[in-house]
Amino acid sequence: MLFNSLDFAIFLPIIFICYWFLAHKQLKHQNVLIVVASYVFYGWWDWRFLALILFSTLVDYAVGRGLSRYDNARKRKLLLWTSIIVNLGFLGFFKYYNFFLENFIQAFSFFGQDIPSNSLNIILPVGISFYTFQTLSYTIDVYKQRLKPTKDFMAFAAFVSFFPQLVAGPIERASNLLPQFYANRNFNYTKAIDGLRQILWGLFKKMVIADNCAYFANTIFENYETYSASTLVLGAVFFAFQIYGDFSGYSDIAIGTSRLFGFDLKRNFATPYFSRDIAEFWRRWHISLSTWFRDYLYIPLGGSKGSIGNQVRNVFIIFIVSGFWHGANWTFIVWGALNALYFLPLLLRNKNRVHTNVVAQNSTWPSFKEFTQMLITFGLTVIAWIFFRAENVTMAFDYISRMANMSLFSLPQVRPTDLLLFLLVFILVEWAGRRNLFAIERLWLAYPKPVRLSIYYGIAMLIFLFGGKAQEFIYFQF
Amino acid sequence: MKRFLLHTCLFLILLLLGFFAVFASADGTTDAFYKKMASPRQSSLIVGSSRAAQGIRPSIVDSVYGSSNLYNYAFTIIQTPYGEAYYNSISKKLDKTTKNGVFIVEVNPWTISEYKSSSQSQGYREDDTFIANTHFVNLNPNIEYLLESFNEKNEAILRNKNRKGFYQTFFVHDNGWLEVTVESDMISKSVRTKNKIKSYRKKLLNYKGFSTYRMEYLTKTIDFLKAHGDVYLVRLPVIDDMLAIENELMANFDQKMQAVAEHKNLVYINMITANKSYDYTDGQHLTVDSATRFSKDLAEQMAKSKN
Repeated sequence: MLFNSLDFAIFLPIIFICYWFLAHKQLKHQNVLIVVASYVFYGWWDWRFLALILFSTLVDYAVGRGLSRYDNARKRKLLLWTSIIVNLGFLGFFKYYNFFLENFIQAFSFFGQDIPSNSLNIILPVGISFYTFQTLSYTIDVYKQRLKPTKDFMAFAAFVSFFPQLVAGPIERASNLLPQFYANRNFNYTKAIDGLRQILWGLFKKMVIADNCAYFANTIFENYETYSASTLVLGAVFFAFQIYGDFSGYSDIAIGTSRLFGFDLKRNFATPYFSRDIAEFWRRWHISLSTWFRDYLYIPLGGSKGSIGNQVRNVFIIFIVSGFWHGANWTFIVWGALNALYFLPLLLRNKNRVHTNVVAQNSTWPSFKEFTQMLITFGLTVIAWIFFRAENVTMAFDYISRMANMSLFSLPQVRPTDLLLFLLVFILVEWAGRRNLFAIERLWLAYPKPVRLSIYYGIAMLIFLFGGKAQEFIYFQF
Repeated sequence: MKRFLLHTCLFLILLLLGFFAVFASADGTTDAFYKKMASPRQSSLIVGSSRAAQGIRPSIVDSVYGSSNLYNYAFTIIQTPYGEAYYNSISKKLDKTTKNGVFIVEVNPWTISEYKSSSQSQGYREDDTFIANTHFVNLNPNIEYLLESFNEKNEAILRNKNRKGFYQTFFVHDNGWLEVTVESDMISKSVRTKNKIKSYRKKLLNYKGFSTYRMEYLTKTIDFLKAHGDVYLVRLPVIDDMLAIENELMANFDQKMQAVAEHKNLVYINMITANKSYDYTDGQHLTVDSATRFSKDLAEQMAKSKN
């Protein structure tokens, strides 16, 4: 079920009413309702994959219970590895089996050894990369004794399958989300209104910005050989806004929906395109995944400690694994490696934590220096996105090489006035709301209520009028 | 909670009213099909492909033949080859109380042919289109169509309204006739014709020709309409190059239609023989002027055959 679909527009109010009117007296009932709703939500795509979530839930719950019973280090390690193997095994099979097989075959055929291909027609279960990482964080935290294992199976099942963030995050830590399933949840008007505002802004990002950018980005990328350099640059910029609008829009809808049910999810995007260097960008982009890799991979590997060689190795590992997490394609690996190359000079010069505050914290507009820094960082990001969007690495290099000729200084062949205007307004609103959890959180609160409501009404009408036809969220494929 | 529900409901009601106002302004400029899906049930129908949609003007036929309120319910070959989907849609569109209606069933080889890749078990090409997916074909505004099948952004409903005859090349009249205005100079026409012939040559390769399924539904459609009035089986004219392609697709098409007509005791009006008398936008669709003349000629033939 897509957030931007009629199905969800009907599903959400029904669950909301049941949750606050029928199940509100007992926490257990509310948790049961969340599990049922989440399974319906997920099963809407393909009910067969519900078995995967259920199995993952049972395994990790049992592992958690086991870890609470044993002090023996060997037994505890065995339990941890059981969880890791089961979860990553599913992920590996569904997401990476064909990739590894094809690459092995290619490698062997390079040495003159022809191997018959036995690739399988595997359908990738929606959101598997997200809920796998979420459940892994639970077992790892319990193993490391940072978190007490839960006895409440229903709360755990609700934590694993919580429908607002089940298929595309934010990837929640058990330490943040699981305790919320133990506590009584009372309806909070302000929180719910905030949630609705965030959903509205998320829908705007997805349907007006991302879906419209997608149309032009797809046109340009699919026929890139026929376009001028300036058009190719515009195509890459459109893709940058498409992926941001798509993914951060999804996160906003997820977080907003959770608020309607009394939950607080972690922020996943913090205006990343206003970053002044690439390190800041990675602290602001897909925060829940970046911090997951930081805590469960980068730091255990030694992080930024140790010899320069180790630091370089760790940075490449984390970025390449992060790229590979996005999909079984060399384009994602190169995208990760390129970001590692961007990041390394900052780390080695110890300048990776220079910009930890919001840009132009105490002023309305950025200084010239800040503006230039933001522009350079955005430019670097756009180049990296070309690898992310391209069909293969060769196409990405070809696309970039075609961007470097004199036609760069001509007018782009594609000039969608409406969209460019929307992007300008969007950037201005995001800029004005850069200090908030989401752009319009407190943006117009000083205005009288009728004015504020008219603005929200206007945004909703813009979504209705200019929203592209329902397209899937890009991150569902990951 | 009550306050939240009240405020949210009020906001949503106002929002839905806004949505409804936009939908209610959809009309013949919205797209080439909407108007036909948003008109009331009809007592007399023209059914068939885009040739009929553009080439048969109901008002002209009404005035010459003497029928009343003939309605053009023809679409394009993509959505309305004869089959279950179109049959169901026609049956929803027809006012079942009609006893003396007039029905023009346009036929050409493409309407009773099938793609090589199609089969009954896999479903047919029109099954994924609005003709199969729109359950309500008589609602105004037809929100189901606009939500599920309208391919543009909703702002196009408002934008297209003021563009008739300028940027907008089509307009669906209240009687369902699709008026298409394109550049009528010789060069544009020749380019369009050349491209159309090229695309149909290509299309021909993907067709396996005569389909018993389609023929079965053509006869079923005729039987259904016959129960409500007089049925005329009509083939519209096309240029010789297009006719040559159609002969390759189905050499004995006219004999087949003649046989159907005899079997069903109705008239087959084959206007192909008069193809030199008309002008075409692209070799197969009549220009507005020719559509007017053709409709008059067709109505006269219908009247003659009735007498």
